[in-house]
Amino acid sequence: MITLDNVKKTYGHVNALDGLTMHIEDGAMYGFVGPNGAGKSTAIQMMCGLEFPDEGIVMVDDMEAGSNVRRLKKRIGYVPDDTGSYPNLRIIEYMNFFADCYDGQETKTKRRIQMLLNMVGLQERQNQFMDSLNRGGQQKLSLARALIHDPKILILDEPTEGLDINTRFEFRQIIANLADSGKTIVISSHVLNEISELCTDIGIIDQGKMVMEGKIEDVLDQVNASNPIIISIAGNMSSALQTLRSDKQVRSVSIRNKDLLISYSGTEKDESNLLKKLVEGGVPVRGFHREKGNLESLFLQLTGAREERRVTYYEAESDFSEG
Amino acid sequence: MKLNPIFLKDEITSARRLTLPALLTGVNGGLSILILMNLFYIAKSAKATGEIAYAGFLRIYYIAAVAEILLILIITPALTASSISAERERKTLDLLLTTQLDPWDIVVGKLMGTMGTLLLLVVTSIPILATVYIYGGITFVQIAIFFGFLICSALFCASVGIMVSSFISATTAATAVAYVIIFLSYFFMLGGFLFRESLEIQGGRLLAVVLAFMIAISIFMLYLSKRHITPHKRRKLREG
Repeated sequence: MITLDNVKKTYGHVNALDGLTMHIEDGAMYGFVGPNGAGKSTAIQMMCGLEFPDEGIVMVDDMEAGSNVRRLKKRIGYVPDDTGSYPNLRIIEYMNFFADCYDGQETKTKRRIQMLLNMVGLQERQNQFMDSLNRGGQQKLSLARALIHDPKILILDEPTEGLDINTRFEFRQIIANLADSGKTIVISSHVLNEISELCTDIGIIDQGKMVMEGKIEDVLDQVNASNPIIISIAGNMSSALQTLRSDKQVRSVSIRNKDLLISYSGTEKDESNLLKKLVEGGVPVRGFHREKGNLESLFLQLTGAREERRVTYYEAESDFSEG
Repeated sequence: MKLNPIFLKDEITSARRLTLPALLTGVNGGLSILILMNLFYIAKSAKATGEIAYAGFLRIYYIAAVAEILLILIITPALTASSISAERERKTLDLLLTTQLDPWDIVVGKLMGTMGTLLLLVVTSIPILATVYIYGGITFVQIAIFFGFLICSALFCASVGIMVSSFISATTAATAVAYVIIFLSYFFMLGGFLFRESLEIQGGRLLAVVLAFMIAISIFMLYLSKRHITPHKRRKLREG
């Protein structure tokens, strides 16, 4: 379990983390999302013990991160955004070198290295020099390296950044398999689809603060609730507009193609009542559903695009009133 | 017992470069040429005067000794000033710090790698310096003292290089600073030896003090390097 409690960190006059609090359960696949400069990498480095907070505390399995406890270091595997390589070393030598950096039996380690290289598809190339690998190969090797001591927690900082679609897919499959084996995985990424497909939990960070955290389904449900209801109508909209104007829970109405988009604050029961009212009022309703939320829209809402969205609404509303 | 992994890794990578064989050939070749030239000069003057100047053989020893010390001073910063900064530039230092390796292991591994190269230089030059021993004029103790000083110099210069490399990220700047520190240190050391009589200190005693000081300061510099690369909590400034 990883916990950050009210963590603050400044670099000169820049607040990298401003009271960040987060909680990662054992066995979770935690997606860590935020715009550039939000403080993701700083938080990740703190979990790995490479940075210390100015205030607050970072705990990994009830041990303070960075406390140099050998037991703690054995539990964490770290894949940085910049993989870091030794061009003059062969792939197998690189793996042997990092295996030597941990306690472990030689024979067991050798078998594990072969297993890991096989897992990332580099077993056939183990005698090649590291500089012969492309970005995808380097990243896969970095993942194999991070798993060499069989850590309980795997921390990946933007691991799929700069990878082509095929390698990204392969990488995602490997991570999904690792999650199935019970490891706690923390993955920071800009690719929100990736996070929503892979992760069980999510934390959205902005300007060094956690703006939303929770199970991914709960977060998406929250997004759904704030999304507009889309009503498709066959024919004239005027009767539908009259009914909608009379409902106090309708906050705004806009028109998109042949659909009405309404901002609605009621419960699910209120929604069904509204539909009933429309149908009973003779409105030819073809469709009635709440727009599905996605992480991208939530991310934009939470990290600064909120104003933009409001403007769109006002514009839509003014179109509607003029019409 | 497990060998230091940093040392092993550095040995593998350095064995693949031409630096080490080129260095050994260059240094020993240079020393050999120096000694042969001196022998040629002695032989030539013997032919002209009919006398063999045995003092000339001793001069070979001094010339070779000074040349070897100068070579150590010149080579070591170039070998060590990138030791930690290159790991930082390659982004591998963070990876090493997340492993079970202690920061001491990283510093000591780097020192072992450099000392290995320098000792190889020193050991391979023994036959060249030993030519003087054949003709006499110097004792075994003098040779032992010289090699002791050489090894302490290697340790001192390597420690300066590693310390500077851990404090300064850019390798070029680190190399320049290491050269300045090393040459200033030896300038003052040489000053101490030249003015030892006016300071009324015995030569042997001064040498012992210098060697002890070099070892102590080397250990301290290595400690500073270790401390600097270890992630640590920032000290809070006192309010008010």
